[in-house]
Amino acid sequence: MLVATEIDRLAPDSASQTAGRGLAKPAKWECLARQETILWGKCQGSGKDPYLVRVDFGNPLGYKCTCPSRKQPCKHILALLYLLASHPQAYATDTAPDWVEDWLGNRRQQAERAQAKAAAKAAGDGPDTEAQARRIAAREEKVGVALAELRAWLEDVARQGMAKSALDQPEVWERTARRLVDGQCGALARRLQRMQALLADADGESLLARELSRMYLLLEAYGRQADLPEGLREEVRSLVGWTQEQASVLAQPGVRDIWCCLHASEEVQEDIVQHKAWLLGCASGRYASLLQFAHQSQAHTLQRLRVGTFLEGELCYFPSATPQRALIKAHAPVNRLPSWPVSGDHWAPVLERAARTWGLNPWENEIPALLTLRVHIEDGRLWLVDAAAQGLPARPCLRSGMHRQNLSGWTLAALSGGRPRPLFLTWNGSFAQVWSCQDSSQLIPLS
Amino acid sequence: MSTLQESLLQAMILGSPSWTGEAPPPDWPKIEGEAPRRLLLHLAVAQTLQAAGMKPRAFAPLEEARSAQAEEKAQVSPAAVEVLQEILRLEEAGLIGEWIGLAAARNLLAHPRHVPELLAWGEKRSAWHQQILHVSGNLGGWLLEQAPTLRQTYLVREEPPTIETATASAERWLAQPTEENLAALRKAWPVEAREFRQAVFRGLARNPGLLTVLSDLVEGSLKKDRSLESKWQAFGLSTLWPDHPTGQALRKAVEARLAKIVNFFGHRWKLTATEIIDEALNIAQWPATKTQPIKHGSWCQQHPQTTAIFRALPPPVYLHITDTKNFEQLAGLQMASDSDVAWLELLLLCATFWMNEELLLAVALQWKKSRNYPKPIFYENVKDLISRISSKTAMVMADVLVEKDSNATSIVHYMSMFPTPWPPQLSLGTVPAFVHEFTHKTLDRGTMGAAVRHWHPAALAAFLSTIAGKPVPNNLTESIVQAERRLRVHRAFDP
Repeated sequence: MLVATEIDRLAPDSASQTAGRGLAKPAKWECLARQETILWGKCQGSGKDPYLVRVDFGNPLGYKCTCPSRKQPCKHILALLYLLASHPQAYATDTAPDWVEDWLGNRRQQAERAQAKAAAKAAGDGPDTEAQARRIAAREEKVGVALAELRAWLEDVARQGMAKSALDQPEVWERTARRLVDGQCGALARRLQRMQALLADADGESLLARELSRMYLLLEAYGRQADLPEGLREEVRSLVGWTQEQASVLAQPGVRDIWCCLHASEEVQEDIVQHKAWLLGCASGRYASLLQFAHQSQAHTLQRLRVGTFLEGELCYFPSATPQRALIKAHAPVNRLPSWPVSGDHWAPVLERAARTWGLNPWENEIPALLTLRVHIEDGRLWLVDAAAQGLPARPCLRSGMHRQNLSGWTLAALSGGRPRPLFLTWNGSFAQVWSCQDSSQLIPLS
Repeated sequence: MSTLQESLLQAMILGSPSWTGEAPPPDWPKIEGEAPRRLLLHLAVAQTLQAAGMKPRAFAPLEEARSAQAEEKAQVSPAAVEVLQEILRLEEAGLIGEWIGLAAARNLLAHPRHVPELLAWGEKRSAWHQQILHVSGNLGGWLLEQAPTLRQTYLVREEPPTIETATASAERWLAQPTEENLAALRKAWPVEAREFRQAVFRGLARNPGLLTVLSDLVEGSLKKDRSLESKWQAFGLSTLWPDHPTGQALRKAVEARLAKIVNFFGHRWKLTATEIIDEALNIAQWPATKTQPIKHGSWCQQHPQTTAIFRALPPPVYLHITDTKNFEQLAGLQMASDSDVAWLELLLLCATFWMNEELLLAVALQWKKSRNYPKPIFYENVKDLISRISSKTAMVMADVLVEKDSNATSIVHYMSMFPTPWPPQLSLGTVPAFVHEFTHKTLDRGTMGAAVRHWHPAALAAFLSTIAGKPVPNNLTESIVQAERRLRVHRAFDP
């Protein structure tokens, strides 16, 4: 059963949350019933017939409603879940009616088809390997062409200078990114599209110049894949757009630990929900970043993690020169609450780790760290100072004042009050971005 | 940033031909090819090396650093933290203000994570500054030190005495008119605002014996007060002055004016044509009989000059002239004619002008009967009056009005003009009417919304528990959710 806050997270937006809560009154429902892990109800809407709403708590969570809303889950589904949290006694125990049974039957068939497909794959009963090799070769060719065009574009920018390359015009980026997408270099296209936003930064030109040069370095590395160590080669291919099979990642031995979630965020881009989380192994001291994607309509399938929670399980890292991204192989609830991971209080070890990482993998963007630091504000700039009174700059810049849109830095300052606090941050070589702050017994997210 | 990296960045902006090609250190990888390629790869190497070799800056040690002072006050409960988080997210300004007020009244601090958001919320709400600073504690002060622009906004200024303070002084001095107090009043007279003068005049209306002592002030206002309201008050006060020529002329004029009214208080006044009065006061005609309807707006609105004159009469004079010996006589009004309605309306204006609560209450009792005349009394003048009389007085009036046979939801509509939460008695008194209208689906969203915003939490709880399980009409869904949320705000402080 879900608690209200978990249902809140299922909602596609706050309007749905409010509407769902408004409908979560037994009097609004013609019937409410449950059978083991299945819930159903009829809710009278504006139409003649009541909407038929059903939820299956099986794995994965499933739901369906006959209302015409395009939002998924709709307010009726949310209300059915809110009602279970607030008025569980309102649900009569009953046998599922036909309209619920039919839907469950469809779900079972879908699950069986997926299982059969997975089993066939595991048994090596996959597609024709020769055909697969041909497809890969064809794609390599397309990627080669796209990368050659990108290389020429980057050299043009360097030759003419950024000032004369009309980089402030969105169509320039869109056109270049589109060619990369056509050349099946999706990851590189997304990286390029993100660069455009850098120009809005006060330091935009220099940040953009650096990113363009890093991208050029990536193209160089891709051209010399054979000379690269295996981990770095995988990393470079992945940065260009070759996906690493999750099954093969999960087939590797993982790291078992109790993992603490230090950061979790979600963003939606073109109907795709991206859930990102940073975990720290309490015993291993290893960091892991989890990235999950799902279409908005399937957002409930994401394994959402919450800041400050623990999970016990095995994580498998994607092959890389500096493995950070991981997948959850298996996990279980934590029986006893572990103590918080111990934080360091000096920058020096983090900077050493960062130097080692960038020596192996210059495209690594973020070096995670849990450090006890104090916040110092100087001329509207945020600094994080360690126990040895050594400080590094942090974002966001507070110079523009205290506004609703710019509060995370001030919230960090407030939580610190100028005194040392355990902070979870990522360091990118120029500034630190703080994601959460430990306050008494809880971890407070700042993103 | 090294000079090499600077020159590389400069070249990226201006173009590789501008790159002088400063030689990289000998331990750098050898990069060959055309200038753009060399420029891009040199920059990639330079920035990787710079990031990897970043050195922190030295700061003052912790002992010397300025941090927020430790707090002495306690923090709000976790439930209050949670509910504030929710209402901040929903940007519910009314509830945020209420939350701040509840926390400040209990001398509690907001959780540090919410202090910046509360400070930012209050940036353009100066009325909340003191309370926000109160709940922000020492941390709020420290944060404002770091945010100079916002600090300027919150800077505590030496405020001049408020009008409320000055008015209270005037009332206190007149209640105990010792030589010392009267001297203080005279000293304050030339420098204080018109509200002060009006408070003095109201006091004189209640204690006409002091008129002879302070006659120069009244005379002065009558001649050259910059406030028309004060001038009218001085004019009205002069009627209490037995030998004041203007006052007596006014008194006679009003008496004569009233003599023209037919069917007034059951009296039959002798009709005497007094052209002098009409000319002098330029009085428009009263409605002659009850068959002459008041179509648009109230009588008072249609006859502003007459209204001004009648309103200016201090209640004792008014009641004397109209031969109203006690307020029970008001009960004799049947509210059957336009004259009755106009009379009540004038009385209400007079009572409000002189802040005579006794008269106000008497009028309020009578007010209930005027439901057949909602337009002139309820919607026009009352709205104006309520916005001018003190909330305390209005609440007393409303308390009287809220009886089982009164139209509670209508009262709620007028009272919604007050920002203050209503007293429990008033709020609870309206609940049965709301439940009735809710059940019969005649409650409109505006009225429900007003009640939700202003009800005392006890009334919110009573209403929500009574309607629990009943179907909520679609137009009220949002209001009910807000009612629940507001109740949670209060329960977070008073579980």
